[in-house]
Amino acid sequence: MRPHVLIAEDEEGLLEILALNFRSAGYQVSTATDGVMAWQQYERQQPDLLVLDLNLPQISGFRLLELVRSESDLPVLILTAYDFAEAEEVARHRPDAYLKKPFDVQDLLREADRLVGRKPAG
Amino acid sequence: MIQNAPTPENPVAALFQRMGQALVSSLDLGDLLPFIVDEAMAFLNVDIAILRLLDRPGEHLEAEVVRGMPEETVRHIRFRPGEGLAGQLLLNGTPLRGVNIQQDPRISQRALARRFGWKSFAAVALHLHKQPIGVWFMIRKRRQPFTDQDLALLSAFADYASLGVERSILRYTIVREKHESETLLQASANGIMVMDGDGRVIDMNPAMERLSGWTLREARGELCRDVVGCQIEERSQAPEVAGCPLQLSDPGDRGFLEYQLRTRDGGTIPVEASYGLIRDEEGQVDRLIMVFRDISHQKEMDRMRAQIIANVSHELRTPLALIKGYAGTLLSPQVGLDEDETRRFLENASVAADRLGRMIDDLLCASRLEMEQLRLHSKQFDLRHVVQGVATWFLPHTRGRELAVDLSAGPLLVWADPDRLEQVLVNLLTNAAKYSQPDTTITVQGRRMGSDPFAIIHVTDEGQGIAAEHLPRIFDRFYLADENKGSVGLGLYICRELVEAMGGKIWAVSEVGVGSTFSFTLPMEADAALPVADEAV
Repeated sequence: MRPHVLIAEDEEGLLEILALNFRSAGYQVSTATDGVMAWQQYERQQPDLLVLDLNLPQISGFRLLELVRSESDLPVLILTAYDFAEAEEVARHRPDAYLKKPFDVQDLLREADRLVGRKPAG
Repeated sequence: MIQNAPTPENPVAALFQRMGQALVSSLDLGDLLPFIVDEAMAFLNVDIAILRLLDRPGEHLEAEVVRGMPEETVRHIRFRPGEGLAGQLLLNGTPLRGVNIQQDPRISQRALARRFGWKSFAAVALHLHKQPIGVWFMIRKRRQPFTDQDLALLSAFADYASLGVERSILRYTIVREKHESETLLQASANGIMVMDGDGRVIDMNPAMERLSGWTLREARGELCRDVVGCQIEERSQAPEVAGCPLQLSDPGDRGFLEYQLRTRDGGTIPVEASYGLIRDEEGQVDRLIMVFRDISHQKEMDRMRAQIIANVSHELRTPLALIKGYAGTLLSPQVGLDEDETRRFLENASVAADRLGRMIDDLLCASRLEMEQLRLHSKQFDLRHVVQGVATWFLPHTRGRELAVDLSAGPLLVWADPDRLEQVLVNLLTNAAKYSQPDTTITVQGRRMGSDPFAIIHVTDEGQGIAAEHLPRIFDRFYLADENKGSVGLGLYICRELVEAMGGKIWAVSEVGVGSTFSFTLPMEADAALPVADEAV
């Protein structure tokens, strides 16, 4: 069965890139461009992995991570454009993995595969 | 004064006992010197006495004590060192005597001597630490000569007078220095606190009272750690600054520390402290003087700077992530893109690179404005050409928004820098597109501003609008009304600075949910002649 990833990212260009790459890597993809949408999708879709931009409108990435953590063990991969200032905050929220922008799409897919317990394709 | 000391029978001993007591008890030169002169006159049976002291710059001998003749006859007479009998005596120091001073060829005030009947005289110099400080003339109105013993006694009197002068100078110096340090303490903008070797507060200045919230009255005698807890900043925990100087095993006599100062109301203030130790003869700390400087403003500036750098790097990373994302996708073996999609991705990457470039331009421009290094290259031109040019360039960046340009009001000859005008327009149009939805309209309108010699340009969007609380601050540097939109908070700041540098004004009118209009003015040429007319000259 194909793993299902929910991508929450407000930058439309980046969201398209992420979705395309995950699809090409064999994932089923759901997307959200703000925090509220992401939470609704999470509840409805029951994804296997959440790829989360920290800087989301409406509900911030950190808040969303707390909400998700309060009710499931869903693996969460954080995308952040912040530097050291947010590094402590990121560490405190204990995501399963985090990548700093700009990141390599292949690195992202490798991390995602690891989190959903899948051998990398190819 | 020693009250119960027995009076010696020997009159000379009794005399010098009186003088010694006067010297010890009286500190005022105005009392002491006349006392010594009077005693000497009585003892040596003298009619007239003039004691002169060198003034502070050492330029003149001034009459300090005058006896036996009206003071005003002598007061105005001053001698330079080496000048007259007195001036010569000051320099060579050898005691003088004679039976008729009126016939002494060295005397300069012969008329005075004659008028008051000066005859026999003796004179000695006053010395302090081997330096001459004055001269003392004793004069009889008869020809009775001064004996060797008289001269010896006069020298002894003179030594007492010199001692009196020294005491007075010392006292003056001490009083002045005390006054100076008192003023220094009171006037200092830095907090100053003086403690004893146990750390008990002895003194603090008004600035320290303000800084700590304590008054000197409350704090005096308290342990300083109960008054202002000094917590060492974690970052500065180098071994050499590991705490209060009184608790260090081997504090230097001077030092420099950074603390969090605990104030009376329980708050903390970051301070820079320097201290000085005064030790007693055994080397134990006798006084600890600490000077505290409030650095909270500096810390706040540091914090803001760090925040700005974090924001800026965050914003720079976003387009960079896009560019790398597009490149990575194009390179990916798993993603098969057709020709159109490949082309679209490359265009998108290019747009993101432009965005990155503009951000860097903004940063550099803002830093130049800040350093006042921005130069304008103003000239006369028709504003319509620049607006039209920017609008054409901007079309591919509207991403679905319609761009309407209205320049129907005729030529608009302004005096401005066309490149900077372009920058302002690009910033305003970029904002208009960023904060509005596709399928809305962005309008640019340029016209003459009534009868005033200004052109006015409006950039109107049908976007989300700006909340009233943000509106007054949107032109501030690094101000972000909406933290989620890719921006470093410099665009509008730059617009304002540039427009004002070109002699115009910029403002915004906005309604949430309806849209915003940004308007700015530029000065028109006084005589708005057509460019053709210019070229014809």
